[in-house]
Amino acid sequence: MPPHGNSSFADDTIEGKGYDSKLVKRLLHYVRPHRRLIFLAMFFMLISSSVELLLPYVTKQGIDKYLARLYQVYTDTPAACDSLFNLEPAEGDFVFLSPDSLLIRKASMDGMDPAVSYLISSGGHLAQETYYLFPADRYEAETGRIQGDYWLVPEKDLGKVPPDKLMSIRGKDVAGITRLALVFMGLLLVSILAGYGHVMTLVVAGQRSMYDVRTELFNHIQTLSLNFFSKNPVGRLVTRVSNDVEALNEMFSAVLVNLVKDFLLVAGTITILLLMDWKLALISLSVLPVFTFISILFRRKTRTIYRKVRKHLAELNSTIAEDISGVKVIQIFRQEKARKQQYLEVNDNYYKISMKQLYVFGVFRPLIEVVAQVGTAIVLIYGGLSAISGALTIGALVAFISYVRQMFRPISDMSEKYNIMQSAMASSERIFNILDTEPEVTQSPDALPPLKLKGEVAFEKVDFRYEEDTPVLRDISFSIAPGKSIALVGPTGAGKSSIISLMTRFWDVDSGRILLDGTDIRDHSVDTLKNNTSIVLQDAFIFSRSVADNIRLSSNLSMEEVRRAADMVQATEFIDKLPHGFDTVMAERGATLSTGQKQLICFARALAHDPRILILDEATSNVDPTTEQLIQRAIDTLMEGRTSIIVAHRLSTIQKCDEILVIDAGRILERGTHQELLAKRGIYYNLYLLQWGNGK
Amino acid sequence: MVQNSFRGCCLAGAKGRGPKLDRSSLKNLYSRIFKHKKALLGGVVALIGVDGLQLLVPQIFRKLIDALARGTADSTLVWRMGFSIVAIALGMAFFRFFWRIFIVGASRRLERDLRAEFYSHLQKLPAQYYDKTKVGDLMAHATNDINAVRMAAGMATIASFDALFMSVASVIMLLLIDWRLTLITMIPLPFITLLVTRFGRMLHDRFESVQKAFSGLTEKTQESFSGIRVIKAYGDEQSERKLLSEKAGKCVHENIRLTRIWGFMQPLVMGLAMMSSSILLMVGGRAVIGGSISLGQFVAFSSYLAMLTWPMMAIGWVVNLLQRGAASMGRLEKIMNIKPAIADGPVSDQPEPAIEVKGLSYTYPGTDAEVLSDISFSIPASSTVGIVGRTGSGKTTLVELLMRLYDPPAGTVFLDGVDVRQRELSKVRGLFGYVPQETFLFALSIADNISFGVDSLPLETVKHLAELAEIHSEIEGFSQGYETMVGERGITLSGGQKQRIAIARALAVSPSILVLDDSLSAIDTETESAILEKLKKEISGLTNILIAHRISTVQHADLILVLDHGKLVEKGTHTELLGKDGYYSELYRMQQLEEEVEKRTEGGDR
Repeated sequence: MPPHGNSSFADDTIEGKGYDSKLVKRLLHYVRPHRRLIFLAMFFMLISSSVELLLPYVTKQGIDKYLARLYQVYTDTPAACDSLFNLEPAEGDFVFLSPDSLLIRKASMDGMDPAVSYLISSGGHLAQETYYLFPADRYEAETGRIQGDYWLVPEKDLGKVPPDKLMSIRGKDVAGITRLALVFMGLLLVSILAGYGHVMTLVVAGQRSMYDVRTELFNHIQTLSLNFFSKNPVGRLVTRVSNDVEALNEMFSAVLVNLVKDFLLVAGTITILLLMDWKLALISLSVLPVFTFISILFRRKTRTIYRKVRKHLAELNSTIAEDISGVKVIQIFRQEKARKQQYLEVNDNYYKISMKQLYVFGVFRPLIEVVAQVGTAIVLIYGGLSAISGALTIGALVAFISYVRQMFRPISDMSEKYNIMQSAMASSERIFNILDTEPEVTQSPDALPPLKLKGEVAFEKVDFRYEEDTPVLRDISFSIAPGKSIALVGPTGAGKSSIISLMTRFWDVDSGRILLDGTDIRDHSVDTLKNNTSIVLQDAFIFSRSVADNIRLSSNLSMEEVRRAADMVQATEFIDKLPHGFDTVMAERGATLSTGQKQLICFARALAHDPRILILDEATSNVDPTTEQLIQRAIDTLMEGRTSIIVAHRLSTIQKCDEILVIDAGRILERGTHQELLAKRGIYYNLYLLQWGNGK
Repeated sequence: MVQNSFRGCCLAGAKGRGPKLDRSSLKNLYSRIFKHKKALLGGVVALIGVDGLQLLVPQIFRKLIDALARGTADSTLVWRMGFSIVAIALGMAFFRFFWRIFIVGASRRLERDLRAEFYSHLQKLPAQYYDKTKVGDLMAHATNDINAVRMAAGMATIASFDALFMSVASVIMLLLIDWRLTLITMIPLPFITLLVTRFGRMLHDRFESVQKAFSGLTEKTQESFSGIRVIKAYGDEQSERKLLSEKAGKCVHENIRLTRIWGFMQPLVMGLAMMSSSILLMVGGRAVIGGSISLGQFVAFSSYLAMLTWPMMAIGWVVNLLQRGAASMGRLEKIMNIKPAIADGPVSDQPEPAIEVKGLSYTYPGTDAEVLSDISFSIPASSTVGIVGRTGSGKTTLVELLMRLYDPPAGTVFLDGVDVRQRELSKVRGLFGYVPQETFLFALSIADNISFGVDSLPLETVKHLAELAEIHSEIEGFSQGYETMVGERGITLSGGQKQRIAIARALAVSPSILVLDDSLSAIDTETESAILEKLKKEISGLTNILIAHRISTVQHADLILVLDHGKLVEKGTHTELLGKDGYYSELYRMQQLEEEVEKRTEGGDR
């Protein structure tokens, strides 16, 4: 069948909650070991986001303090001026012009103690006109007037002072702005480093946590019973370990890295705005609900359409994959045109849906932008009007505009993060479902210590079913003396493979017992079973490791022992011809080997482990006569001196066994040696006879 | 501006990269893009509209702030400025909509056309091309490379025009305010371009490594779970665990390696942009104090400077996208330049199904070993020929040459007296009904699979064909009968069922010659002889070519060919060949015993 490239997410829905406290609690369990890194990351994040928040404020300070250092004249009784001066918020904010007049720095009006600003507004007179303030000795009559120690230049007349003179008399401002710029650069450096530190530490913490989840999940799946594997296709399990854990990782890197930061930025911005001017802040935040609403609407729309796009793309890919795999059939049947027509249709469908997606983007993205701009306009209008009335400084207005514009991005990002959260929650639920599955076949707590067996096997009245109501084995009893062999013969589905599976404790019996050396298989240690039995399955499974490691598996056999095993099944000849002999690393599933060669390696594997009990599911595949003979001889070598249970297809194998069980529909119908069964003239005899009757 | 997810854009795209731009591929890429010049032009106009309007925004700030600073502002001005912002925003939204539809739409059309072109070309390629090419590789071309071309056509086009216009316009606006200030503040900006170009490439490479590590992990998991029975039987869990930990560790390592660059790049680009702003604060602040620029100009300057950041990033990004697009285009072209090797011949009359092979030797193009050497035989119309031999003896190659899936040397294979190469291809292939060795069914319903080779077939005929192939009753047994879907979304058929459906499919084209390439291997001998019997009875005059491992399949043939290492070693009827003490009689002896037991005990177990 064609490889449908995208089958892995077929069963992965991402509907559902974006946050589930139970799941998150369990997830946190995996994060806890790395909490130091997380705290470090949070610390870095705090630094980098505060710097980010601080920067517009620094600019505001620069403008208000140095670039536009403006004063207004306040007149009142000397006593009132005196008492007001004592309340000066910061050095240089209030300057005595004369005993009954104070200069008040315009920028300091902003965010001033309400008590002080009440005194100012209710007391004397605050002139609207604004002045730059220079020392009186620099006065050269270009503009402005001298009053006391100061030379007052009206703001609008500043241009009349020659630039070089301005630079020298405003030396303090120049030094101030330079200092500020240097501070700004310093903060920037800190912010870059903190930003880097934040991302790095979080990713490291996230990756390590996911590593833990992944290995635990894999190890857990390995311990589960075969029943679990027969219910869950391999592809699905692979998806759990790979893609689902990846979804968690995505949540970690995308959400935790940015979501918390975005949230902090928005909260910080709102706080700063409220502190700067709570009325203006509230008014400029008025578009936020609209903005958030449209963002969420947009995300919802894109999500549904994105799912459709993915579906169509998967279809497009699977169509082309199918037609590439089946190209010979298409050419022979001259179906090029018809298949092409079909592909073009799928291609066109994909085009249409992606255009639809484009239109959704085309409408919503600009719309979201418009709402953000309306927010800016509101700040501009209200802030502008307040600035005219003097309630807001220019620097504050500029800062306000930057803050409001900065605020929209994290909000629109946050709605995107929700989707990631949702799929991560779904993934973690699937992962935990597996982790909560208990293995059905377990070692009993009072199992015997690992033993060396003699190899006596007995089934006593064994019943077994995979599912309720469909018994697979009924009342199976037989026994094999050490070193003897038994052949299982019968049609597909008769229950031969189930007997083998029970022998290896892939499953446990429903009733009856299986005895090894007289002890119930369930009372033996798992190690006893593994150390004394070897199984060769019909499907010769080769791992993508070296040939030697394929034979060795987990045992620590020496190279000589491996080679001897290969020798005995006559596999050395072809193995030595491989590019690196026994060290040749196999392709996935041993793709470069022939079926017969793979079988020989599996035989060598079984032989190398020198089991007391051999379990063999004989393969039926067509191999050429030479290999066929090799395999036949290998089977003979394997069986020699071992207790053997064989699902046999070759007559030569069957004849060699000490006892033959003819099985059908889960029952033993006939038993005996080859000669006995022939003499019985039953089912076996008929099988045997038929073959002679047909050949001639 | 178009800065959507920068990270995503950097990472998306095809695998591999040419370190240098491949000129001819790039040219080809451009010529494909320019096919959509109308949409492109519309898009660029809209883009310039967006950018132009965007440039107005700082002017509004400047005006308002200067008016405020000079105390000349009044409420009408403030309201006017506010509404201008909204009006500009609406205008930008309008143009934004159009550039996206025009340019991205054009790139989508380009993608669609390229996919169609690539697909039809793949169909024409000869079988030998597919023998040496993996499906996965072709799929990578069909997905990644086409995506990379689309990205180069869409995003790269937009970004390059946008970057060009925005940077030129912003710089002009900056120069108009103060040229010295412009030069000084722009110092950090080219480093952004450099950073994005240089690190963008590294980022891409490392992202590839992450994906490779991830697919390594997936493969390992797949293997472990597929081999779980072996692992459990040998108690190999520990070493599997260790191997998986290695793969998972590799994933962690590669991800951290990626983050080292990615985590650094974003703050650094930001930092460089901000560095410009801090230079402005220092130098521009001085200028404001000195009175050479106004406070409003200062604010406007800072806005224009901020607008330059994106184009600087975009330039680096565009370079990478174009490189990748050109490299992908090059790879696609390489495939599309392969000429379909098998061409029509001039003879167009309908041939009789009589085959004559004279001294046929064949070597696969590009290889040394002869697969077939000096083979001669003839198949008269309406006769049955059996071909036996070991795996790799050349049986399949022989029949594929007869059908011209590969081209035989001139003067070796004759159909109705005329060299097959001289005949019209469709007339040759039209004679054959082929059941290949590896049964390939399509993800269609069973009925559609059977009628695959013909336009449409009444259900009655489909059923009749299924009866001939001894599969009818089994199909009827499925819950959806003939409408049952085959493949992933449908039923999993056994090997024998697939083979019999493929036989019905081959019969549906009313072939003159039926070729069964070991197509009865998964069917038990009884069913097999029933099928062969029915074919003989129901379809008169059918020529049969039967490739088989089993003697029982071929023993009744008029002629049996025995191939060994590409040579025709024995030739004759069943009785004649048994008389010789050769490969055939040896095979016969070996199979006699086992076949029946296998049949009785297995019944097509796979």
